[in-house]
Amino acid sequence: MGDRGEFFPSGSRRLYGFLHEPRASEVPLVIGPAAMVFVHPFMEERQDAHPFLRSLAGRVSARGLWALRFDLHGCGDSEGEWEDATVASWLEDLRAACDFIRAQSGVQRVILCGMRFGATLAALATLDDEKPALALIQPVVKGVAYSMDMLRAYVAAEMVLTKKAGVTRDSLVERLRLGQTVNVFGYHLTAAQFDGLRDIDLMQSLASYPAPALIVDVVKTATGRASNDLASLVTAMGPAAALARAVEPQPLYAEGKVHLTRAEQVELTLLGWLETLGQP
Amino acid sequence: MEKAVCFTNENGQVLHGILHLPDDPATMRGAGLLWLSAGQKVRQGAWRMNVAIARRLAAKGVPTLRFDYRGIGDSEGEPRHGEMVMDLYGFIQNGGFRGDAIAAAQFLTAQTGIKSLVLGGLCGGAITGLFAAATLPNVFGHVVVDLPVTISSSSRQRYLEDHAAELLHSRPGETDTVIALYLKKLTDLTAWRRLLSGESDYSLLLEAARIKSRTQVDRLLPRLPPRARAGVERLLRGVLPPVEPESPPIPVDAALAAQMKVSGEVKNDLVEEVFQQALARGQRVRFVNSSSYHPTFMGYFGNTALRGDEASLNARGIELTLVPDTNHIFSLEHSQRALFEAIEAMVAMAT
Repeated sequence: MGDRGEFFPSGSRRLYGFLHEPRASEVPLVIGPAAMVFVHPFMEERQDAHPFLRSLAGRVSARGLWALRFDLHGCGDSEGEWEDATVASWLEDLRAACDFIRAQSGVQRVILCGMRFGATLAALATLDDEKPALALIQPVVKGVAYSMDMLRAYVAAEMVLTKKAGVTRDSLVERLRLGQTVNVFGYHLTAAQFDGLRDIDLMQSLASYPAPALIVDVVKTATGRASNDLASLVTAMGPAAALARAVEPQPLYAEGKVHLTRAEQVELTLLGWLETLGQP
Repeated sequence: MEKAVCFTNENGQVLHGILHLPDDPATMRGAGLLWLSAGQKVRQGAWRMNVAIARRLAAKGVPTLRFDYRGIGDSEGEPRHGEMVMDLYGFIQNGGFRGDAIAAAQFLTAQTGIKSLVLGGLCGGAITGLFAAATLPNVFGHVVVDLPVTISSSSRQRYLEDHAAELLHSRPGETDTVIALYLKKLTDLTAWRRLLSGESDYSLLLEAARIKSRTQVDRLLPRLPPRARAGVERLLRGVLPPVEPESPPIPVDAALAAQMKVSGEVKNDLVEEVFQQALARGQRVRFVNSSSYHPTFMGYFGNTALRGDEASLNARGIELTLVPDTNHIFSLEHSQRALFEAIEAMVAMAT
């Protein structure tokens, strides 16, 4: 049938996915039949990361794997509204996406690949009572910091618009506690989402991770500062986890000045790691 | 009901999109909406704006299509049109996605049997609709949101990056924005790290602070006796020189100056051309401007193309809505409401 976009069920909701069928256009990976499910970053980061995830999925399918990019509940083209979703419902969606690609491909082995908070969600997933192999591109390690970044984005946006310092992050937290939402660039962050994010600490959740995992730290230059969080995370995960640095000229999840549509170093890193999964 | 759809453009490239239809086919109205994506953004738009618009319209019986242009989002095609993002903007501002919009309009019409069509979009989507409308037979009107009225290119982008402080010197009115942007960085640990390690170029902030300080001094100077004023002026010479009135940017070299003239600092004459063509074909045009973009729009286009009072503009099928206190992506609630109302009003007229 070829590459295609279609809706698939997740509970009572329908999610949009784009399926890349395996192609024999490049030398196949030697890992045997497998499918890779890509989990997007959140809010506006999803838009800016789209071309890179599309290209990654294309490269993986060109090497013989099935690949699925999909939108979580309330994100992208999927049904539902952002403010109705929670971390728990997004994890259900991720499991539904894995079921969908298994049904479409007939392949049982699923590897998860995510970027930013999408990587974090992938890291929290359990499939059939097992932990899947993971490729995490710049995962959010500490939900507390990430949730506060969202509030800071609100404060900064308001400051630019009104040209004065108005609300504080504390007052926004108070607003959430009163049952109101905080408009982060048009996405209405809820208290349930805020609390769900704050509960996340991958350092604890992924301690002694039993399956193979790749953590990709994207830096702007070869001498760029490495992420201490990611280095500590890999240490906590244990011997099955590997840390790789990929040099990309601009962030993969923010609007850049150069018109890039693929992350060459990240792609090479991911494909290299997939090759290792086939080795005894 | 939302359907994943695909169709081809004039080059045979497959474009992917979502067609929003009313749940009850019996409520389908005779007019549809083609909502066009902005610039490099994929078909959902900022804050899923395009999804929200399409769902609202479909719920009112109006079939709505949103899709990815060639090379963008899920669609086939070459994604790059130059080295920089600004070059892609320039491509769009020259009608680069016109063929895709025409293919989408024809697909929407054929799929739903609508008699008339409203085209609209934010920024690059707005201008793409105007370009496409010149050859489409069933366009009733347009909702153009923050219509880009200049041409962008990487040469302008490079000039802005390399000479931002200099440019600010010639445009003191933008000082407050620059200071606000730097205030935002005060809460950013990365920015502090860059500052302390000497990686930051804070010349722009210094220039902004200098202009701001001098503006304050200029308010006080007239209150001083002439001799004291002259003394203060002498003291400030070199430290806080007077702020020059708005003036053209000072080019570094003639070649770059020539590039700038054709790349961003002049009006895009094609905008007026396609706008006049739309009016000549009897199409209505509703402009919706964010307060942050409105001055640029008026300066390069509105002051000349939209002359006349409200009644005379309306008689020509033109409306202009200025949404106060809002940004370019209309992410604030009041601006979202204004946007929805403008689109729904145009579609209501079309049915």
